Amino acid sequence: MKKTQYGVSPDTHRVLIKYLLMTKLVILLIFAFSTQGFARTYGQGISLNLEKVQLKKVLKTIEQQGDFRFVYKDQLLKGNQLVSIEVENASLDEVLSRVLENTKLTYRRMSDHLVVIAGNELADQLLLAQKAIVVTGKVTSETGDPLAGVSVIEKTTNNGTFTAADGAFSIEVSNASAVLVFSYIGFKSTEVSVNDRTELGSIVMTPDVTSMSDIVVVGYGSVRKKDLTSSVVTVTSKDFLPGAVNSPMQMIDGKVAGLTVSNPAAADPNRGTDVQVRGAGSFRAGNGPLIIIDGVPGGDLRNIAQQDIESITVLKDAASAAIYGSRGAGGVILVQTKRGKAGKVSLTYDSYIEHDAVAAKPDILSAEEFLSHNRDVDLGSRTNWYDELIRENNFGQNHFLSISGGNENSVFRISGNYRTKQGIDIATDRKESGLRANFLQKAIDGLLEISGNVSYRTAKEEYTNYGAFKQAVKLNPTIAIMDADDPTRYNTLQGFDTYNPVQDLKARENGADQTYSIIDLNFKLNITKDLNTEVKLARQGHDMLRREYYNGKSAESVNNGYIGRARLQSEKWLDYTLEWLGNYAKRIDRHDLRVVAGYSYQEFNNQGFWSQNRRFPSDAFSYNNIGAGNYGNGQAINMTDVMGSWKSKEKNIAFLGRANYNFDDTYFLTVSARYEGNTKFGADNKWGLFPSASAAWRISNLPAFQSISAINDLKLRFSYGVTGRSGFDRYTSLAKYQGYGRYQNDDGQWIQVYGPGNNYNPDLRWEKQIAYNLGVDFGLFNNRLSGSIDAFLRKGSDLINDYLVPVPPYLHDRMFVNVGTQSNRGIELTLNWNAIQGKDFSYTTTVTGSYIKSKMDKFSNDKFKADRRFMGDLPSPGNPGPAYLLREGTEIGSFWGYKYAGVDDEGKILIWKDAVVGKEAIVASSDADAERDKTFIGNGMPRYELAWGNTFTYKAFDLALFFRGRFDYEIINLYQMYFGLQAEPNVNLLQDAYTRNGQITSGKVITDYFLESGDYFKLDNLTLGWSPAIGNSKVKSLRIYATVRNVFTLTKYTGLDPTTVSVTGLTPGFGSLDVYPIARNFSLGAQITF
Amino acid sequence: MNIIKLTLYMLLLFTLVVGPSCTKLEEEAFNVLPADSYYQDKNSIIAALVRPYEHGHWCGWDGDRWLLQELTADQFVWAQKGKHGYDDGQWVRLHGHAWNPDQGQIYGGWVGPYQGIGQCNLIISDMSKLDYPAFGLTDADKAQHIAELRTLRAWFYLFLIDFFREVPIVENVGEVKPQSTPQEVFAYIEKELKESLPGLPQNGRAGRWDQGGAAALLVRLYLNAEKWTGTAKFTECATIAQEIIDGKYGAYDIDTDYRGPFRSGVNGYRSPENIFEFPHAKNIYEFGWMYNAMMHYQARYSLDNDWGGWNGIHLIPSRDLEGNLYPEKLGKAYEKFANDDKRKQPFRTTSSDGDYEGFFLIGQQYEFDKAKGYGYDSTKMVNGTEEYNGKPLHYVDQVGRFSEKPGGRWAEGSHVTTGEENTGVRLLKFPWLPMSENLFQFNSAPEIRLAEIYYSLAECKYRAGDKAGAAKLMDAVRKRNFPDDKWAAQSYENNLSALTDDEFVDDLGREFIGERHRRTDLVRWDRFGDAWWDKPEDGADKTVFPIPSQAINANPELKSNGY
Repeated sequence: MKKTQYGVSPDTHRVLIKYLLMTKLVILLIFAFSTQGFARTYGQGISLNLEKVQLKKVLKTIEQQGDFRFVYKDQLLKGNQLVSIEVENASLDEVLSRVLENTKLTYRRMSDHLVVIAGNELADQLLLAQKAIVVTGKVTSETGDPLAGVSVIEKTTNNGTFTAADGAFSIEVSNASAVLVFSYIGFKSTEVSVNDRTELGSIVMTPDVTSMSDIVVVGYGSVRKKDLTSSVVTVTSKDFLPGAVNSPMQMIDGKVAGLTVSNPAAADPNRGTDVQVRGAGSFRAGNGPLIIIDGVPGGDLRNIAQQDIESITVLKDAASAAIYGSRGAGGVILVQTKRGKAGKVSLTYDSYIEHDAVAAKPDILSAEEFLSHNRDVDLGSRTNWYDELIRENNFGQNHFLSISGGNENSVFRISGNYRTKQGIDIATDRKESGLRANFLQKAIDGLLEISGNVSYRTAKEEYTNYGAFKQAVKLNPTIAIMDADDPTRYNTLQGFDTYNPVQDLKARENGADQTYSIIDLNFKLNITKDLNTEVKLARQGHDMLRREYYNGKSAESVNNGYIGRARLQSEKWLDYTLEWLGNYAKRIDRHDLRVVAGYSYQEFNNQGFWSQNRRFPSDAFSYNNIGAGNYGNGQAINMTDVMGSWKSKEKNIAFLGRANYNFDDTYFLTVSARYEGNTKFGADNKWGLFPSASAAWRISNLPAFQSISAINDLKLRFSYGVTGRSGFDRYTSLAKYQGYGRYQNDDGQWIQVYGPGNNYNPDLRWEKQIAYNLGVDFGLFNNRLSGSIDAFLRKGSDLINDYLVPVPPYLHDRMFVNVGTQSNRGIELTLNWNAIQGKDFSYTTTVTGSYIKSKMDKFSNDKFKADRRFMGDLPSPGNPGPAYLLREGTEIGSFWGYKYAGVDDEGKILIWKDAVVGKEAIVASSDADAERDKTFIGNGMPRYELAWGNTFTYKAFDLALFFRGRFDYEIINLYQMYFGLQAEPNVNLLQDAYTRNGQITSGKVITDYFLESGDYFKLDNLTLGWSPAIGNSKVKSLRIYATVRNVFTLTKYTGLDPTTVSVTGLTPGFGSLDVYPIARNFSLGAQITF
Repeated sequence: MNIIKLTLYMLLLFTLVVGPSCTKLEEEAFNVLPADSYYQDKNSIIAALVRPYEHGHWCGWDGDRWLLQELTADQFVWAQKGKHGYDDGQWVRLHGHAWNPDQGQIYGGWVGPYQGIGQCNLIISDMSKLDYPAFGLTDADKAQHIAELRTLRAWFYLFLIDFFREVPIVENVGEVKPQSTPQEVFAYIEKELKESLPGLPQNGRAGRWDQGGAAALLVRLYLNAEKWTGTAKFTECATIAQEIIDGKYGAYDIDTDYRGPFRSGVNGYRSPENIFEFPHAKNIYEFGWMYNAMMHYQARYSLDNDWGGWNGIHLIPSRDLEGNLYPEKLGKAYEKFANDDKRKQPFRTTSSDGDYEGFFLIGQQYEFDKAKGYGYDSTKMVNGTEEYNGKPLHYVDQVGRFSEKPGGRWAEGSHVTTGEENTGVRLLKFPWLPMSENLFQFNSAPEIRLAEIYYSLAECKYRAGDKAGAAKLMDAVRKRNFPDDKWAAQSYENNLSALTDDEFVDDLGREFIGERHRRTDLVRWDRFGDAWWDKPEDGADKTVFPIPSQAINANPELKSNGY
């Protein structure tokens, strides 16, 4: 169909609808290609060189150039004079305005492709139709079920209604050619032209697969979500958890099954979160995922304002991560920042203010109770140490402004933010501000696309000391804060691990000035419609100036009789990335093939120096005149005590490739490989190959399923891949001589001695991880219920650990070698349910859950032997030994200790001999034998994680409740051991010492008595939002919201909060003594878009 | 232009520019030194030569080796002090001879010396390949350096034969070898020392092996030969000891002052008695571990420094909770000293130039007299911070929960586990002098003193039945410990009958207290299994440590040594 002849009225409308439909198809196709990034860009110019030809011929010639089609009535073109035209790369508007210049004809672009040439008669016809009419009809699903609450709106107006319970609607439209737009969540928006009718009959809406047809960014490219063959989850900004966060990862905490986000000091704005994908498995090669920001691997999340993030994608299985090779085994997190969009310039102001309130305090003895229990002498004061460390009136603010816009050839976006946050304690503070800009410019008729990001961010951080809060618990509450003899000075306390925490936090400055920057540029050349190549260049920088000054009132100054110690450390990280990719895409009939291949070069540099001095003339200089001190006071000094510097470099080089094939949108196959090398690897093992394969089968396309109306989509996935871990230190595999202590040389001068520095290992390579993933994606009941289930098995081998090696012959008893295997297996579930979709009210709920088990399978090989590894040494005083033991076959995070058997008549802890409950109870302090009586008493890694999100909307209001929980794990509660037993002398104690643990009079031993279930379920985020319809056309949208984070927690754990206990890494569930206060955060925010 | 052609040109250009460096993965070193380019000049050779010495100081005077020699014997203990110092029961086990092959210190007794041996092996191998003249040194320097390292390596092997008897002899880097018999290890050490000795200088630098040092190591080897190999070598021991005393390997003298060998290094003094000492300097290379292991947190106020201290090791108590001396022959380290013995005095500085007296801290502690620059300010008592928080700190020669008397844990009695912060007499033989006078941490560690050669020769004579000869040699050292007017009563020559086996063992204890000798001496005198204080008589032979399980786990060639 090249052109269509038509008569005058009433066919006009029908024809127009046909065109519209046709256009939609074209747009869809364009969308499908251009989003893959392969299609030749549409919109090249028209070139004509015609001399005195019929108008019809001109249009025909333009059509032959491929981009446009014309619709006209033949008669209209007859009788017009001949035209001549010579243009090169001209726009359509330019050409048509010239050729139609002296005619009565007008033209109208119906779409990017379709152009209607019209005369006066047609215009008249359309005008005649402008008369209000009432139109009725009924909306049903494909299966004929009536749909209630469907919104029916006359296009380009605000005129609208909803369907009734039986799906029927009635609406008065402005004219007989009006177009109605039907929309309903879960269904494709449908447009129907009235076409002079008053009864439209049954309108069938088809299920929306938009959520399934979203484009998901994967490594080196993107795919439609519905085409995924591996386990990949994307969370877009609209689904981020709202409210004030200290790390972007907090915004997706609980949104991705299998992603563990853990932050034992969540309220500390200077602390990042610990992130782990599908469990821990590595001793020394890192358990964190690879972060990729806008395609640049090895990014730093601190570089981005939370409002700049468009989406966060987690590549969970090895098949998706294998394209990142030796760094992919811990999972990959892809962060996409927001881009500009062609069209009207848009301005967004997105800000909030926040406040932290103490959510829980340790329940310790008051001064009076302390004295009545004869804990220690009354030193006269009454001090609530914990309260003294809290800043009650803390405040935070985050202002963000962005502007974006552009046209079809260039888009831009610029954003900036300013954030301040006072910690909930008296020391912590953070101020940061940043600017970010990105652009996309097409050139040479779309042949070349240049895009890039520039970002610059600074942060001024002031640090606290988590240990101060332990002091606040254990200190005698009758000690005065200030010196009784001199109220301007602090009361400097003496004793083992005893200090004045107020003095510790106040009599010093301890912070850092951070600067982060990113520049990346991407040059893309569209060679043919199917083939393009691109080069990415990126530079990521991070500078840090650490500043410390312990003034004359600090304990170290007072104790050592000097004024002040200053230390400055400057460190910088500079990473360069060069990547060169080629992309090819071809669709022939039902075969769809896409291939990417490329080369990646990355360089990571780190350099720094520091200097310190002490014994200053006064506190006036702080750290700003470091030469003014007198470090040695006349004594010889060791230069390594006062200064140092270092530099290191790492290079990572890779060749990569991937092919995606899809047959009939039903069978999918993806294979990829990365051949990668890194300077850190041993000389004999510089390079490795990381292959993957994954396949998917859309079962719902089977004829048998087509008839089952409840199933909209059902896809089975299976993947296999090999990834690596390489997060060990640089120069580990290199034979080095290094400086040790000092000794006299032949002349009696003290020189630094140099000797063999390490047991170097030229075989050292990445840790290898082979993983399998079996998954199902589904959409049911008109896609109102959708989700996925994944089961995975990951087997880590060649684990890097500093193994005991025989001395002799080795020089050191530890050496980095690749030995041992480990496995993680688990199941993950994600469910989305659009439970209620009413006219005014809707309710959507999301559940993510995971089950995981991580085991240490093997420690030894023929050459390197180990049968166990103790970990998690408990601290002094009275360090009772290590809390964890890993043996072959044990779960990671297994606690090792005695079985509690009550107390004897004197209150001494009894334990079961041979760890057999009921056998023989013996006194732990005198009769226990660790070899004989200790056993595995629990596990600190949560086996189940659950998150449950709920969103309610009522008219302009929305309410979101986000619950989260972790289950089936234990925490070793060090507070109960160290401050919960009466036997601990002199220190202040928890109330529990005389209640819960009142029966115990002896000292601490590691028994299951001190293990507590860590299970918890908390309302982590409660947000109420209001998004009123704005009458003002200048304001596109307005939203005001209030969020409370950490609302309440249901748990039996007696510590402050189970989330203060890290659950990542190899010693999960370690309830440390140094606990930063747990906060309930309140924030109030506004988002306005102009 | 044809787009495909253009692209091809661009790719070609790109490949040419980027290509050469696009697959290079050699590590670039900046602040690390790759081994293959380490030796650049004379200084780098010397810096490598002294590395195993620096390790040697750590091996001998810092941690596990010292702990194995002293905490298993009858003079020192690390008692638990309330909530501090239980440390998973390791001190209880060392004291009670109840260790197993997992005991951390025993592994330290293995790995510490073997690391030193490995360093010597590697650096000897490096040096053998180096062209010394090209670095401005001579081949004679090379021979001497290698002789020094072989002597040092033999010193490391002495730890191993003493602790474990059957150990692998490893001379080459990277070579996994099975154990040798004690006789083979003995013969190896003997050969190494004898071969090295002639190439060494006489009276060399402090902290470097010379002929006197190598000969002294032979004395140690022969003296203990019977216990180590089953074959006594007291004759050989006596011969070489006599040669040392006669000055054949260099000039040495017994220091006339009982403090002399231990303040060597302070104010530039070098004691003529010290055949081998590890020199020290504040901030540079410190004798630090022993301060921390022994001193109380508050000791810095009485001794004048800014160190912390762990309040760990002190003398085994002489007295029970009632104040009576313990009945066992061994132990009672403090009360073994006669009241007239100058060493028994409480430590106090007597001038701001580093003069002091006494070897122990006992009784009430007072703050350093900063005004005078020495001595104590008797008006300012140092207070405790734990059981005696805010109360005067007073060290007692007893172990018990006096702070809880009569309740609490008082009834538990006197055990390794029932100490408190003021428990135990503290050794100050290695003088921790005032820091404000710039005297802190300059004293050398006396690895081998001429006194040891005198005592070894005396022991050979005593065992050979020449009691008078032994007494004469011992008196030659001991005389300095007593005021002239008290000497007659103390002299063994004058009271020959007093010099019994028990007395000999007691006097070895007095002379070498804290010098890492005691376990070896008790073993040689067959008294290591006896009872003292909180230690019962050994049920089995504990004179050799088991090969540590960590070592056996790591090396399939190793077999248990049967202990």
